Amino acid sequence: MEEQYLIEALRKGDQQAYRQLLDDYQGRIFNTCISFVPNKEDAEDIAQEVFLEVFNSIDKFKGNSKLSTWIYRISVNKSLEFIRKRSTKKRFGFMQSILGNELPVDKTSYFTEFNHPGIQLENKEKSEILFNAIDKLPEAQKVVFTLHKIDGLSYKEVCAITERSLASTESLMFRAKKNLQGLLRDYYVKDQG
Amino acid sequence: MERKDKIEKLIEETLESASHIETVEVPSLFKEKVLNSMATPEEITEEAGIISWFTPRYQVAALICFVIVNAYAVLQYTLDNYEDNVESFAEEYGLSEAEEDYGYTIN
Repeated sequence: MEEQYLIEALRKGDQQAYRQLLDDYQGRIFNTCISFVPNKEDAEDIAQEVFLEVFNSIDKFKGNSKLSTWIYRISVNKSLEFIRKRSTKKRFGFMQSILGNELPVDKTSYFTEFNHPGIQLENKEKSEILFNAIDKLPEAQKVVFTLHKIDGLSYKEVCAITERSLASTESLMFRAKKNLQGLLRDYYVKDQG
Repeated sequence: MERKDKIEKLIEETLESASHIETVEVPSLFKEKVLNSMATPEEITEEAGIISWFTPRYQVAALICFVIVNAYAVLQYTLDNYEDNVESFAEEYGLSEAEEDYGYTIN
């Protein structure tokens, strides 16, 4: 019921409701964004966009799911959008380098620089390798693996956000792990070679 | 064999690194930044509103109209040209109606 009041207040443009929503969700949303894009500044920008989107399209929220689920969905979409844009820039940068016009674009990662404050120094190298491998997964597997393993959401929450059944989510997780093992094997074989 | 085991161990450790990621504190002033940017985007949305109605659905419809009009124009042009060509061919080889009449006139 409290959530309903909050939604109504948001629809009326109540500033206090905006503050309340930010207090309730900023931590969770920022952590979801940084789980997809492991760079503090990039994640902050994405999280800001998420809240602006929430405020601008609260009228479109039909109430078919929990408010938190809807906000998580926006976060996932915004993060994926960011990754797609970065990948396009990377491809464009590659084309430019072929044509001889070098652009200052990072060609190694979809994030500007690996900077995740929640990762300890001794795990930094392995985590960076893992994030780069995750980026190579098909999008559905990437979403499920990131939400469950990196962001630490339960299967129930992942199912609600992705609108998939438990069986489908488990199957995606299984395939994601298998693919990651393959990708990491290729990486380490080359690296150790 | 030893190398293979080493690689498998590295893979396991890399996958395991995901479970050591800790929750991150929200950057300071994040809330203020969001509230500030909420106050400014009006102009941007207003500008975007000018062409915002031209959604992909309308874009496809416009493209289809463009293709149909062009196809019709090309078809008409070819038909007109065909008639002209036939006429000029007939005239050149004396096959047109006027010439035939002339050929059979007896004074």
